[in-house]
Amino acid sequence: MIPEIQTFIESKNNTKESFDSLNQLIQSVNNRDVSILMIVEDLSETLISTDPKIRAKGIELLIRVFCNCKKETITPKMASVILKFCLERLNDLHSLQSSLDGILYILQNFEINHEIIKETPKIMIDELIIPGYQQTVRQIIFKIYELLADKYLEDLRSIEDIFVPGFVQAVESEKDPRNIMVIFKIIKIIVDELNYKPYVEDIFELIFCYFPITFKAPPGNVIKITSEDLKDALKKCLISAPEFSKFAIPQLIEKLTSRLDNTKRDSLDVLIAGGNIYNFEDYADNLNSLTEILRDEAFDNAGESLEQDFINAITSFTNIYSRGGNEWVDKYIDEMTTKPISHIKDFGHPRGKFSRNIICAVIKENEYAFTKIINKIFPELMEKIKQPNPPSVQSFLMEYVRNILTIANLHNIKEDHMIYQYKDTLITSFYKLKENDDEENEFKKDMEITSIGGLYELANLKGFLTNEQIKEIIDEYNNKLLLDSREDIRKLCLKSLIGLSSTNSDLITSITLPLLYDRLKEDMVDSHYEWILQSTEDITVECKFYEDTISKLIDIYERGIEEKKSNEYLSRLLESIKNIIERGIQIDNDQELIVNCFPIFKDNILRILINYSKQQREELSTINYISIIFQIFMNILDENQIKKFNEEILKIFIDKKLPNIMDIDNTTEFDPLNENSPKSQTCLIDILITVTTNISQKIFDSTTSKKINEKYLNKLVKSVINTLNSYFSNLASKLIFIYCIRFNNEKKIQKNIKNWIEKDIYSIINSNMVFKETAIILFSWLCKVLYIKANENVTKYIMKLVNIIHDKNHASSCVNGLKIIFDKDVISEDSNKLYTVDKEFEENLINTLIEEIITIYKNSENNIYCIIALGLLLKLSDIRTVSNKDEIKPIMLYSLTLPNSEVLSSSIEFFSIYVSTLPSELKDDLITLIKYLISLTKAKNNPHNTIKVRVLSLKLLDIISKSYESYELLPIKQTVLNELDNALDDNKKYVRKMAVHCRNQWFTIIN
Amino acid sequence: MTVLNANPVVYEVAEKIDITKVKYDINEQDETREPIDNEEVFDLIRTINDPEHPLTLEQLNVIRLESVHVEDSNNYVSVTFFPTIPHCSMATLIGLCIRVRLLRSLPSRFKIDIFVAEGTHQSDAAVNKQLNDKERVAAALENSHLLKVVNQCLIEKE
Repeated sequence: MIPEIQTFIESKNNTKESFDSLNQLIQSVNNRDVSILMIVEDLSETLISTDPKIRAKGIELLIRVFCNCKKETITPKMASVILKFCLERLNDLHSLQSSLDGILYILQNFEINHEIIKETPKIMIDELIIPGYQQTVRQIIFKIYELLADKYLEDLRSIEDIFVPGFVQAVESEKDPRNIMVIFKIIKIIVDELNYKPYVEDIFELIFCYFPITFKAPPGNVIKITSEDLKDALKKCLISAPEFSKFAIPQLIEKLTSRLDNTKRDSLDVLIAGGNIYNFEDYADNLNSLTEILRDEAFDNAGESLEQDFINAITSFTNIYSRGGNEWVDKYIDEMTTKPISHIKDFGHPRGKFSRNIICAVIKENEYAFTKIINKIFPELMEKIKQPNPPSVQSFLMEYVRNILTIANLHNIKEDHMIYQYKDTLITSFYKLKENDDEENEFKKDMEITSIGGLYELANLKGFLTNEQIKEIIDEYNNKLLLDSREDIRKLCLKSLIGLSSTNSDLITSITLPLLYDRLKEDMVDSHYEWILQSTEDITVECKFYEDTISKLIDIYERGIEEKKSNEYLSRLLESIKNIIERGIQIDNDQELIVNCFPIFKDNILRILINYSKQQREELSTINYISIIFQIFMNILDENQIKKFNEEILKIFIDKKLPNIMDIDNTTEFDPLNENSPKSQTCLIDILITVTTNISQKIFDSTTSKKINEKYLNKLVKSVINTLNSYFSNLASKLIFIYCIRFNNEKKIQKNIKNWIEKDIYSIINSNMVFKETAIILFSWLCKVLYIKANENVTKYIMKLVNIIHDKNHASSCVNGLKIIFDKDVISEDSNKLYTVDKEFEENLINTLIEEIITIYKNSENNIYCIIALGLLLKLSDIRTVSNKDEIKPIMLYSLTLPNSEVLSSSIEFFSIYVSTLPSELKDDLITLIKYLISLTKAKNNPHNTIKVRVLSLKLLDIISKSYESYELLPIKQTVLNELDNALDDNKKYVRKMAVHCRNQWFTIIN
Repeated sequence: MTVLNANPVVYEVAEKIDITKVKYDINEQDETREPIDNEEVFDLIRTINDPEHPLTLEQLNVIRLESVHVEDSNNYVSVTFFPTIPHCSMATLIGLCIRVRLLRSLPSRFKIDIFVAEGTHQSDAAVNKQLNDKERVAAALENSHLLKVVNQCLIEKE
């Protein structure tokens, strides 16, 4: 006997020996040292042993080797033989699981002779008694059935007279949701593909016993099946065959009276879903019982949560009964509406409201039913509303009329419809409804809402009202929209105006929008403008009135600046323009309309900016949205338009040539690069940056790159170096950066950069000047270009930058410079897309810089900025590629003891990345790190432990608890738990929450 | 084990907040004290799981915001809970879970009292006595089996 076989048979289950021997055997089969045949031969005695345990072990070994060795070592013939062997063993309970595993594996992985495939379900049906097996076994059985149905449907078709009844009988009373899903799936396949008709009743009974299905997923829901999945699959099964209706409809109707809401809801769901599939006769036969229950439930029993379900169902059933022709619709509506109509006649009947809902539901989607009921009830209703009714009755009746009018609009009734005969009565009644001055009338508000809704429906009926009358209604809405103090009434009016806009767009744009604009111009102390702007946006988008609104809003914006309105108000105006543009782009066919708005927006905004820039006025502090809007436009303009715009903006900047169309004050000269830059000026540069970033390379080469020449760049560089305004310097440098990145003659541009750095910038950096910040900013942006281009000189230059760290006065500028060079977030996402960085070059550069900073740190006294710079570089680089971590670790650990919050945050952030990426490298220093972190979570008497430091330390402690094995953390667990008590009592709620979270994590660390 | 209350009423609850995803400006400099209040304490215990059902104590309405009483300055917290049925044998375990969660999450300066609401349990006096007896609570937590059950209830689900 092969020794591994012997060992496996003799060793206990799941022991190391048994695993080892099995693995060795699989290895031998893969290496072709042993064949499956040899194993079978060796096992021959074992496989038929009378000792069931030995027999089971033998079969287990054979199947496990077979299922785990390489597929190439097995021939199809061998697979067939093993499949047959497994099938024969299905009656052996001890080796059942192994045999089933084998069957599943072979069916999944090999092409098997059809005769054997056909035998498989037959034998399974004969031999297996599913309810008796444990869960794991049952699951494999269902997997095999599922596989057969998916892969071998044709074979099943040839034995359908055995398979269908056999399967239905075999799977009864299964409870595991995973297996139930398989049953539903196979039943659906049987009904769709095989001859199920002789077994309809059995199949129905099998699936209906699961109705109504509910399932509460266990915590974590490992099996990934939800109650909804099961419900849906069951529903699909139940309505898969028309023949089911004979059994299903009566039983489902009976379940409608269940005391459980879910059962009622599910029954309705299936009854409606079956509407187009089930035999109509079965619906017809059950008409009386169904309508009775529907009525009763909708009246009394359903309760609030189900009421709407029943009302929707009543509508659906009208459609289902219309399958039988008008005769059946008549029967259905008679049954459903006779009682409700009589209730409504008895005004004030307690079931009045439900009756109204039922009648409306019945006629909602069926025109025949609608006309029939209207003919029956409308004349009387009109008579009644003319009479002086008490408010409760009048309110109820008018709401009833409003509902009917909504349905009339759904059916698009024509002018010959009976409703048109009551034009005057309807108009007068709805107007009268809101003219109720009785303060004590508790229905007053309801009546007002009904009146608004009713007039809306009348205005929507084709040719019902004259233009004058519609205008009057719109005026009414406008009034309320602008002035009513009740939010719900205002919203209702807005909704109605939007609803009317499809047919009366001109009226709304010529009356409502101007009113809104005027209101915006007024002095609004509270934030009422929020609502007005919201309405303006909605109506503009609905009426596609983009151009006019955008120009009006800019107008109001400009006027607002003059009148020194609040910043929130001004920036909300710009936000509204942005919202309108974004919403317009989302709508099909409206993009072109939005593109047409571009000239108006561009001309007006540029005019405002240039005017303010010339006057050097500082009022514009709300300009952030402007670049964003230009950005959005850039995405939808075509190549030509972008090119034109680019040329225009370049003209403004380079030639100082302002477009003629602009109404601009010519008394002072416009200097686009005024270093005393007011905000409008920086906004202009920002627009230029956005454009330069977003144009295609072709346009850049043909326009920007020609227009911005060396002379201009030199001038720009000089202006950046000489300015004292660091905000301006940063923006202008960013522009130079984008230009250099995109410029196609790399040699030339890199030479230029070298000149600027070595001549212009070095002269400032090497000088004794007190203010070097703007030069350092430009220096950093230029270094960023060289770093992206992998220029060799960049190391030298950045070293120079790093060496400024010695100087106390400029150390923070130096750290900021490093951030500019290496942080991707300093420029927009679009700019980041313009280039890729050579990874290897980046690694070497960062390693060299780190080494240099460490040297400076060791040799200097003022080392705080060295540590911040180090932390920054480490945070922005890939920690895995940093080489001298052994030197860095002690410095960074030491920095956790320094009383400087900036250093602390930077270092903790570094350690957070380090621990999450390479936890093993910090094992030796773990206890020290944790102790330092604990002290950083305490606020008392440590002003440098700011909220940021405390939160970051707690977060890092949380990360540590998840990154290390429990045996590494257990020695310090108790200390952490005790010491975190301070953080639990922190002054700040957020820190306390973090501490609780972190402490709970540490409690879960157990041996 | 048969479930005592097989079909309890489930209440709608507020969404669970994942503290690691809450947006908070950590650059804030203002260090003024925000006192511990009953909402904060309620937030600590609302996610405790019921020992019998895969539901939280909040979902079962066993604990309610208004029954949490906090006096931050006097170092005192009391929580009153409402068993779903008067003969609930899990009442002591639920009380113990609440106490353990609070012991782990509140600063040690607090005195914590846990009560079964009066009249909601057939032996409320006995349960209250048990829950607020320091020695008995300590002894209970030394029982490793019981501690395991308590820990199970305290695991926060996703």
